[in-house]
Amino acid sequence: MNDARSGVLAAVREALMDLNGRTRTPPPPTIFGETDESKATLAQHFATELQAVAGRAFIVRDRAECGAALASYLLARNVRSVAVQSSPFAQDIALQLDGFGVTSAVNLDRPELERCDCALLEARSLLADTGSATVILDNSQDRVLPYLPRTCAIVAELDSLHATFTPQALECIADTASAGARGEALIVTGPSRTADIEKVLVLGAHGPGALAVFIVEQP
Amino acid sequence: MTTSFNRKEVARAFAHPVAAAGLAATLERSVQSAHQARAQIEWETLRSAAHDVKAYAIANLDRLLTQFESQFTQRGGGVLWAQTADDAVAHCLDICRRHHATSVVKGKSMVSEELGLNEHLSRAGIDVVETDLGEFIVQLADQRPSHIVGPALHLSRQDIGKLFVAKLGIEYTDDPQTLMSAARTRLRARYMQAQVGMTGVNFAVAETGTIVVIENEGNGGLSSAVPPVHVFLMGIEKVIPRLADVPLFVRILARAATGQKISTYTHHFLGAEEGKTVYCVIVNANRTKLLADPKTRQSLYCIRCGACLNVCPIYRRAGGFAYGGTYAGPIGAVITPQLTGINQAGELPFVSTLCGACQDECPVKIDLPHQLVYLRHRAVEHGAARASMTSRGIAAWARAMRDLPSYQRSVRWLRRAAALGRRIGWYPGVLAAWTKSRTLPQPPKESFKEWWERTR
Amino acid sequence: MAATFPAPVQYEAGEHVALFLPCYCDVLFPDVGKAMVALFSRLEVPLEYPMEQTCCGQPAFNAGHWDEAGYLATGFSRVFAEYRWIVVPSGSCGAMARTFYSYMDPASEAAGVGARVYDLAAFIVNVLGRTDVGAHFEGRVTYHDGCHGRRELGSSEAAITLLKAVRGLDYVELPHIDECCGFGGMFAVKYPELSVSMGQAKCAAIAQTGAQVVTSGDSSCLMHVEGLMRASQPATKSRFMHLAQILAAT
Repeated sequence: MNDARSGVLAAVREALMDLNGRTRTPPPPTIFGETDESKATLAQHFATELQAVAGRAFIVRDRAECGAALASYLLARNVRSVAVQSSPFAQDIALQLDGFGVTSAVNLDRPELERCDCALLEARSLLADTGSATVILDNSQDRVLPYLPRTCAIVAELDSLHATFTPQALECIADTASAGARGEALIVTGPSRTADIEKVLVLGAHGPGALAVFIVEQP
Repeated sequence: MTTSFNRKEVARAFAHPVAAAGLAATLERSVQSAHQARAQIEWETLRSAAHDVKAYAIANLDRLLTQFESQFTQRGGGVLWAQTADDAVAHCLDICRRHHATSVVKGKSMVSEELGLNEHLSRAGIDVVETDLGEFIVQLADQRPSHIVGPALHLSRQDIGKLFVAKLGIEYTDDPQTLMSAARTRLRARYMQAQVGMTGVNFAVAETGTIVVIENEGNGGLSSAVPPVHVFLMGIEKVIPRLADVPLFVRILARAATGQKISTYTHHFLGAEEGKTVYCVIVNANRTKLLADPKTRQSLYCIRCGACLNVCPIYRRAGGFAYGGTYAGPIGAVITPQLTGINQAGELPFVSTLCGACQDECPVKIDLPHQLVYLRHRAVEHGAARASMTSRGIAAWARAMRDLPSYQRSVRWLRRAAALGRRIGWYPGVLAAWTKSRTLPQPPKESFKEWWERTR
Repeated sequence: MAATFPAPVQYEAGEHVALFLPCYCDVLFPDVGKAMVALFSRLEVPLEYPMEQTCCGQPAFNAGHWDEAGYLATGFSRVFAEYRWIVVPSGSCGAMARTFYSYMDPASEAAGVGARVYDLAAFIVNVLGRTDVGAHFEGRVTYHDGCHGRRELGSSEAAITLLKAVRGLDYVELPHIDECCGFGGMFAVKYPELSVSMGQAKCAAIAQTGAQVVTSGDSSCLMHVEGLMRASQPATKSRFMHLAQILAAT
């Protein structure tokens, strides 16, 4: 099969012969900058944008308030069981969830994860202009978490807010990419959706039909 | 499979005016949505920037492909190269055999459509199911996708309701939410059973070996995360140079495709985690033909957003099946002749008024109308169009235009012919196609040249 | 829009300008040529008509016959070689000369001459620097924007500006102004079902404006839409006139 490799590369080089000899430098990457808005203002933008795509956003003071808000949200969604990502922050919030069946995702197999009502994840960065949350999933159980349960809850520090997909926001993806960590960095924006039938919007396609982000001011 | 323009499909589309009007309205809404989303950002600057990044990537494709391969393998993935469609299919079959796969789940991949992959897998006894709702629907209906982004947009909800009764055994409903739930339930089981998941690629970052996949449903996430083996299928042109280029494309792709600010899931696959086997099949399948010609090279910048289809007055009327191949609309007309062969698809670039609306929409500023007219020239050079009546007519007419005396003779002849046509109420050949629904202007007694000569 | 608009250039009063009249206008719509003569006379711009001109070659080019198109392009460039300014009342022929001669062969004589061709509206607004040509035309008028003029030459804004400055003229914008009328040259007779459907959409848009007059920078578009309208509504009172004819009116 090495023939195919040299074949393809040779075909590419031959096809580009008219450009040979010209050294080309890449155009500078397009950078989207941070704004000088406060994190609190960005949190408001974030909430507006996430709500616009049928997600919910809660801005809470501390971990305790986060736990309480999360518990309310879960009750309203009829959630009984929660699978938690292997992130210290998410795990810590999960400790407060009395009365729910809480398990670490790494301790569950696929069918068990499928039966869980809610996933609890940590976002390492938030993008205010689109209501997006970046989640790093580095093991095979965490990887299915954002999709299998019908409700998705995400916790994040206020400090992780960025105006948009800035270089700083890209850092948490870049760091994991370069450090050789595995799995995926997922930017998730609202609940799963499709418009494949007559362009009619339907939520909860294959992934969750509900998604909420809890932004903690003083984690 | 024929890839020349399929007039029967056009006639079929025209025979269903209500469905056709529905599709046209849907596409018009997509265009309006896209325009609104674009107005929120510095669209012209961004699309120029995206064009430039793609230009650089394509111009340095060999170097970036090898860089990508090196980075991807360092992070635990296996890279397989495919010169032809058959090579690519062979790799996929080989992977399935190696992992004793009897069941495969697939996320959206246009290149896999090109390869006819599903058919090959099925014939090898492997059960393959499309997980993107639109693809799932057309698979059940045993049809090809009609649109890059919305494969089943040519079907009404009633059509889909009846299809699900027949194929899924559910009670009839035409409610999209209920239909989606039925598909979701069916597919959950399949994700769990599958040994192999296959997805397409939106962007392959050379610098870090990261693969970006963008979707709304979550089926790409599930297809890649649930089964123990994940196969990426990508055309050689998907490579972009740096991770720092990703935010630009993320900002423009969804806006052009659906008018969303961003898609629900923007995956960045970083490397094979423990317990996972990951492959990337890099496919040429005649893309180097597009690459080799400087006039068609830009078509490789395409990020498969579907915006050109949405705005094209021909696509809106003819529908996706009229294009005969994997890709429809303006981009389909431009790449299909090279991917499948000019003689087979040489007609496609002629089915256009060259209006240029597609170029206005394109988020990477591909010069589509110029490529369409250039491909007409290639078709003529290849002899695909040379023998036709039109060709002979053009050649004769060009001779008639060679100098003033010849021109004046032709004008006099034309006036006599037009007068005759009017008297007998009939015009030959192509003119009949005009006069069927349009009146024909009658040449005035005196041309401008004659007036000028007389009065100057 | 993707079009590049000609950079403002200096026209010196009294310089001769050559009229390039599309071959189909010569034969079918000579009034467009006559209007150009009248208009430029009022503008006090010396307009010459090189009689030897035949055709710019666009139909051959669009059909993929670039040998024939190149041959006609060379002929074109010889006829107009000595002119610094060449004006054409057609976005589509204008684009052929300005854009596509060099697309076929950037080093050709034709490419050089083609770069000196201006669509009527662009010439008046950008080269002469005038937006009011002293015209007087009573009536409600809508403007159809030909695709080549709009996208290759970027002359829509100039054309609409000129129309709005015409005394007595009530300008109404055509809905879906940016949608192609469906003519497309040979396309009109090779794919008539598609062509007619697109033209019908244009007729429907025109009906929405209530305009008595439909104008355009391209007689080819007008020929197609008018043909369709007269065949389907023989009693129609709509009039179809080239932009030059409106601007020449007093």
